[in-house]
Amino acid sequence: MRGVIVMTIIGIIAALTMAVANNLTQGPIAAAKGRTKYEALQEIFPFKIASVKDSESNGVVFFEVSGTKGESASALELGTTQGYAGLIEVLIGFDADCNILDYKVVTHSETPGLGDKITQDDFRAQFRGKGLKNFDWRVNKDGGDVDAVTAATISSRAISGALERGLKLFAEKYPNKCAGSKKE
Amino acid sequence: MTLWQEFSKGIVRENPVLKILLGFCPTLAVTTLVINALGMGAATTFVLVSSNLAIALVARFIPENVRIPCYIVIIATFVTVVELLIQAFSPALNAALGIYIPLIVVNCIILGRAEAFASKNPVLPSILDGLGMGLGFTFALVILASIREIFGNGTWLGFNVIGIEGFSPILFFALPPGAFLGLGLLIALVSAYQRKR
Repeated sequence: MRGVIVMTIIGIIAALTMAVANNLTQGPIAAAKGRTKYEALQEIFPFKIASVKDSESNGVVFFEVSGTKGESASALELGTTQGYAGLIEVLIGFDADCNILDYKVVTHSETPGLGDKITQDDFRAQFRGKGLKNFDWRVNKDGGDVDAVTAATISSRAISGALERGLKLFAEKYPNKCAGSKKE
Repeated sequence: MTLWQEFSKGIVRENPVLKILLGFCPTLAVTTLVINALGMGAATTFVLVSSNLAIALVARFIPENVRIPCYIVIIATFVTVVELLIQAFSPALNAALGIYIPLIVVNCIILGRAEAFASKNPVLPSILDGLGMGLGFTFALVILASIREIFGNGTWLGFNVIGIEGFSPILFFALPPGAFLGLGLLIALVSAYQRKR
C-alpha cells in the first residue's frame, strides 16, 4: 500500500514538472522551428527575404517568398524521403522558369563524410537551372545525368528523386506559370 | 572516501564507459563528430546530476520493492526536460542526436548510479558522483569521437586539422565498425595502463 502511495506521489510530481517544462519551452521551440525554416529559405534565395507565406497540401508545404525590393519566388518543402541512414527532408527553391534554383537539406542522418556530401555546394551545383525537360534525374550509375557522390549512391538517388518529385509537384501546383516546362 | 574521491573516481578509475563498460549504445552511435559527443555528454551529465540529487533526497521514502519504477520515472522526467530544452535552444544538436536524447532514459549508467550510489548516500556525495560519472562519460565519448572524426572526416570539432594535400579520409572510422574498433582499442589501452601501475 505504501508503495502505491509513493509511486502516485512521484508520478504526480513528475507530470507537473514535465507540464511546466513543456509550457516554458513551447514558445522557444516553435520560434526555433520557424527560424530554421526562414534561415534555410534565406540560404536558397539570393535576395533579402522580407516575408514568407506558406500553405500546405498533402504533406507538401509551398512557400511564397517575397524580397525587400519586390522580388518574389517560390519554394516547397517535401515530406520525408527515405535516405540511406534515415529520413531526409528537403527544401527546394525554384527560379522563374520553374527550374531548380537550389535546395537545402533540412534534416538528414546520412553517414558523416560520405552521404552527408549531399548537403554540400559541390554536389548541389549540378542541379542549378535544371528542370524536368533538360535533365535526366537518374544517377549516372542508372544511366542518368546526376553525378552521384562516390560511395553514396543511395543518398544521391534519394536527393535526385526528391528534387524530381518536387519539380513535378511544383508544375502541378502552378500549371500556368510552368507551362512548357513539363516533360513531353 | 573523501568528497574529492567521490567526484574523481568516475573520470578514469571507475570510468563508466572505459572501466565499468556501461552506456555503449550512445557511445557507439553519436561519436561520429566531436560536437555530438560533447552534446550527448552534457545532456547525460545534466540528467545524472539531477537524478542522483532527486533520488538521494527521496530514496528513504521509497519502499524497496517499487524502487526501480520510481527511479525510472524520476530519470525519464529529467530526460524529457533536457529534450525540450535542447529542442528549444539548440535545434541543430537536436537534429544531430535525434532519437539518442530520449534514449538517455535507458542508459544503464544513470540507473546504475541511482541504484548503486545515490540511493545509499547523502545528497552532496551523490551530486559529486553524478558529476564525476557524467564527465567521465563525456571524456570517453570525446576521445572516441576525436579518433573517428580526425581519421574518418579529416576534421576535429569541425576544423580541418589534417593539412596534407590530397588526404582522403578513412571512411571506416566514420562507419559503425570504426566505432567498435576504436572503443575496443580505448578499453584495451586503459586496462593496460592500469595494469602497469
